[in-house]
Amino acid sequence: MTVTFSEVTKVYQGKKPAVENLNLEVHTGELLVLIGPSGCGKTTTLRMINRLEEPTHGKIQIDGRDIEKFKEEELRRGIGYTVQQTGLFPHMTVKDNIEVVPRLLKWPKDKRDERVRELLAMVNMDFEEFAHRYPRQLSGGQQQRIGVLRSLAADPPIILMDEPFGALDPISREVLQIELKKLQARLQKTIIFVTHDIDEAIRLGDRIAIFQTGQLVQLGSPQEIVKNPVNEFVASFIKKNYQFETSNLSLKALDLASVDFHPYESHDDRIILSIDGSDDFYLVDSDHRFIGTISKENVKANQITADKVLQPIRVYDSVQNILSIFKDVNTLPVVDDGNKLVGVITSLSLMNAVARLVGGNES
Amino acid sequence: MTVTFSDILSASFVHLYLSLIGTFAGGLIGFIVAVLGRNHARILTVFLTIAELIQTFPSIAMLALLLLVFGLGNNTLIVALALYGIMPVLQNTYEGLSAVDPMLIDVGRGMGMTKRQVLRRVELPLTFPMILAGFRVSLVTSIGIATIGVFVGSGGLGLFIYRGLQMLDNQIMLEGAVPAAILAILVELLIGLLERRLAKR
Ligand SMILES: Nc1ncnc2c1ncn2[C@@H]1O[C@H](COP(=O)(O)OP(=O)(O)O)[C@@H](O)[C@H]1O
Ligand SMILES: [Mg+2]
Repeated sequence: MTVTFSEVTKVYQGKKPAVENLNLEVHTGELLVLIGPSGCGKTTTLRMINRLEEPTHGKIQIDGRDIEKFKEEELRRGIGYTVQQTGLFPHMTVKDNIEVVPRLLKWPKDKRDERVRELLAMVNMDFEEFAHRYPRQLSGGQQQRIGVLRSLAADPPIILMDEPFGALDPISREVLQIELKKLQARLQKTIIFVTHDIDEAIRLGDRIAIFQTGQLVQLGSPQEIVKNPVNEFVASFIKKNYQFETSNLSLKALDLASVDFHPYESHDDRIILSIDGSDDFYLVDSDHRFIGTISKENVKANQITADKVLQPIRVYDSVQNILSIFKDVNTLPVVDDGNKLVGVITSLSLMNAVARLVGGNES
Repeated sequence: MTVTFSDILSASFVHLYLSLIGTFAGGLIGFIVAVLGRNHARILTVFLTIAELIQTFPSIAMLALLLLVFGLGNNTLIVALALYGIMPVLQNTYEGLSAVDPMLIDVGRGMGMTKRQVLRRVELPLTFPMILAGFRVSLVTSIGIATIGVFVGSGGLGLFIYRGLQMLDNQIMLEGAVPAAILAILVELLIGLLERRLAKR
């Protein structure tokens, strides 16, 4: 289902507009990340979709139908909603929490039971062990997982997530990101995901919408945004996390790299990532620091140690340098000054870079 | 005149029964006022003030006044207990409802609950332990006040206490006073236990 904002403005009484003239179409089955500094209007944008806030001006449509035309409660029961503080009801068990919307929709008991089992199984939580616990008897990561499952419970086509992993420690956060990515690959929901963490945005987003004081300033794939920030604001927002100079015209390592990682799996505090165009997997720690590469075979065999310790290159290494190394290897991990893995150069990403140079735009 | 064990037992039951009815009626009024008035601060303040005023009224005077309206018998006592029972439940329900995290209400609405469903499924269950605490306080008080119900002709343990005092017979007096004290302590302990059970979740 698509969600379309047309000239949407939201003004809270006596304040500057929280969202100003927003035009945005969220495509069916995509995970769109809304990102920007605190107070830039992300939450307001999200909450206008399920009508927890009403726009001051403009309209919002779902599959072409104005959301004003729905009955408020019916609209919301068809849209999953997850918030940062988990929003789990402390007086309800895990099962009761997950069942909230199915109950509102008057699903019969058998169907609800089955659904809870199915959902818990999706995140490898044992029904017998967890279904009858209260939220406070769960770890932060488990609570947030239940929050996500709850928003999926009635199988809504659209899901809104407001910094769902924002309060978690880095390890749990990355584990949940991986799970979400897997769920999404399987379920193909239309997800609108708010975060202020650019790493998370790049990892999860099919597209990223960057907001600044109520305005949408850039919308594009993670790659487009990392490589072609439209202005200083976006550039500095990204640069906080990726310490390289994007405006410099001479090509650097990162310009040749693919940055579109897919979290594959996590093991304790280590995370395995894959990337298009490379058969190898990449092992990083919870802070995304590069540990090494692992062959596909070893990952399949659950052999989670770096088997090749490829010397990574720095984001600002020159093209000459890179090409001289690249003769001998298939892929080259790229790290920043903090040894964080920010991209991988593969034959595919090199070709894309050349195509961009020749064609002058993104593939 | 001797008092048998079964006399004490049946008087204790009557005593508890009268206290429960009065407290329950008052609690219900307090609860309803708190729920309906939770978004109307001014109206609620009026009710709270009245309920507080009632609380300061000496129980003997209250019974005497009500006697004029309701006559001799259990009714006068029950009405008095109900009046005293409004305030603890009203106050606790109101405070409990105000203390519910607005985020939870927001999430309930966001998932498609109506306002009434939010009240029934989120706000009230979360407030329940506090409502119960209010009820406990008022029931314990009622058990005490009910002992003077004998002056307006109601049943219960007060009769033994009154008779014992009149006849200067300590044993009869204690046969009323001790069970009343035990009732109060039992109520305090049992409901308190239930509250702690609920709070553990
Ligand atoms: N309920 C509200 N009442 C008044 N102002 C609000 C309300 N919610 C948000 N705002 C204001 O609107 C702006 C955008 O807030 P928000 O959408 O929460 O931003 P973000 O989620 O990006 O941090 C902020 O200036 C904030 O103070
Ligand atoms: Mg926000």
